Amino acid sequence: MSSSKRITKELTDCTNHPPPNISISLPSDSNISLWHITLSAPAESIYHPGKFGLIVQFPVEYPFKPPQITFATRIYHPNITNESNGSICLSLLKTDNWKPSTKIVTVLEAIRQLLVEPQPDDPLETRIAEQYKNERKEFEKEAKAYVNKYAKGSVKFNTADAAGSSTTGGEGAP
Amino acid sequence: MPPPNTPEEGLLPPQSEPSRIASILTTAAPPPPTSSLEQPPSPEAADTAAPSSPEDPALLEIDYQILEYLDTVDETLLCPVCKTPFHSPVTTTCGHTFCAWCINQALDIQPTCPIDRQPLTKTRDYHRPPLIVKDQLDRLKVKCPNKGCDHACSREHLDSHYERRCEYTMVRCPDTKCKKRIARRHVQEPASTCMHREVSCRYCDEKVALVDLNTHYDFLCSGATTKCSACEATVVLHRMEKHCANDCPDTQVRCKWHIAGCKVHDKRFLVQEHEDGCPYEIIGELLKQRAEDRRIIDNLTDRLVTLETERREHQQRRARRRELSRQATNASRGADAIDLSAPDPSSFFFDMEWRPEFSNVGASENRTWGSPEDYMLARFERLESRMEDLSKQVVEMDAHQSMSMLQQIMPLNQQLVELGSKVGVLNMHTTWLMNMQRHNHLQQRSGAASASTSGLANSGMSSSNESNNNPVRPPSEGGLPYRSTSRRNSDGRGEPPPRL
Repeated sequence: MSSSKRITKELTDCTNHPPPNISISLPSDSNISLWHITLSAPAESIYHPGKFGLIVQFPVEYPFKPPQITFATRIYHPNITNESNGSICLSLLKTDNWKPSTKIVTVLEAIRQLLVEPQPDDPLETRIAEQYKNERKEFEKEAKAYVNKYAKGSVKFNTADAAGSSTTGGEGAP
Repeated sequence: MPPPNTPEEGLLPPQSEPSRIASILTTAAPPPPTSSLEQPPSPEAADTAAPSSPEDPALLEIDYQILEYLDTVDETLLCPVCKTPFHSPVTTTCGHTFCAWCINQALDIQPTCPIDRQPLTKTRDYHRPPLIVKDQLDRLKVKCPNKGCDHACSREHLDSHYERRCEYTMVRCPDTKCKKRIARRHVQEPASTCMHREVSCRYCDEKVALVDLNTHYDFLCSGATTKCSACEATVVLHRMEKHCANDCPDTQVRCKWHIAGCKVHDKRFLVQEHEDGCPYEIIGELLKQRAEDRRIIDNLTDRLVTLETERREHQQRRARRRELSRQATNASRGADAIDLSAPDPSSFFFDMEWRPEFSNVGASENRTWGSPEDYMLARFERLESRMEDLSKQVVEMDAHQSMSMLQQIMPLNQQLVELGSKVGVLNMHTTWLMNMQRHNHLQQRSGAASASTSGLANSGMSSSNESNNNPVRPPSEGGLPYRSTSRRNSDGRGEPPPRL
């Protein structure tokens, strides 16, 4: 029940001081623990100028448990599953490594950094990781193709996924 | 589904995302409603949310996590868990500080420090944070958490404001049977009336709780709105008068400079346009200035009048005093004779100005005095000063007396001591003389005895001589003192008495 206060606090901070290259929207007026994030890939990454949608679902125990963050936009990346609901492998977000003092903005910054520097040694997609390590040219070509295919234009949050997430959020909320 | 909160809500243009979030934050956040104990509910919310706590405290506790701070708070004062300034902070053994509530929550989920993951035990590993932290937190300026109250104070004083003074604090309904809460300002006399009993709205058929009646009229009542005859706007019925007087753009009003002579009389919005460049504005300003000056002048005149009256009174008093003293001197001349015959104690008052009258007061002869009180007061003062003088003199005399006494007694004491020593010397002399006398006497007696015994011994045994000599001192022992004394005696003077 403290989660909503902490989330409100962070949302207020984000609206008052919007972080650069990140925009936040709420899909539902009544559920504050589900955020839609639009993230512009950094200029130095191969994913530039793609815009990626992320779905942030805060657990009831937030900030004691980490938020669940998934990519709504498909992306070709060794640390992100290659599907419409891309899970992220980020040490910061693992339950064992999560610290309640970490702010969501910090997490989003870390994800942007992951786009610049993929970590093929701790992959979710081993095939892409291998390609990243051995055939960088091929990997970059594929990644750019994905960007052109999925990450151009306005960001679409998959409604089915969003609905699924929001129902889980609804179950979780008191 | 509640009716729209404000009449204008439907007219709002589509919002941009940040402003939509902001509106969500201000109106509905945080949507999963926390316990009603933690969030001071709005008047409407109080109606629906019954206090869930079984003991039903007199006041709801302040939720420190949703307080609004006036200044930006330093990052170091924010709890790492709730990201708000610490509330009753504790410091762990690993040196990190949290709100007590936050660290308890965190340790319930995982028994390690939320920052460095060192194992921690609830309560046992807590310490009191340095007092400087508390001081800094106390100094933070916060707004009162109650909706509608715009009081701001340092956080230290928030509790007392919230508990005792704030008119918006939700308190128990005066009706003891009613379990609902009510803003303190709505509590009316007689105190036992329940403010949640339903009354019917004047304009529609709805039943509304008494406490919400005004809110109902202002925002919710569907029957209470009407169309303004002039501007066609929908207006709440009981606000109509105010609307026409202040807001309605189509009501006929006069230019605000009509006092300066402007003749414009038109619809409000036209008049407002006209007022910006009204040629009478300069005159109006002058008139205003003049009114201001007039006020100042009036003020000054008032003060002058008061001052003059005061001065006149003062003069009158002085004149009367002069008159009084003149009469007094006259009277004293006439009354001298009486006073001379006065008994001894009155001689104390010889130096008094009012002396003659003193003897006359008893005869109630106060016709010479403008006010008997003045006279008595003066009299009293003089007496008092006289008394003081006297007491001073008494003290002085006392001191003098004791001094002279001491001076007289000192030589006497000395003489006494001298006499004592002389007596001692005399005493010794007498003892010495008496001793000498006795020795002489003894010597004479023993001389006579030895003479008789030696005569007997010459005819008797020599052995009996010894035994007969026994009672007498043997010459070897007693000879020396006798001789020495006799010698001294022959000198004609005794051993000089010990000097003292």
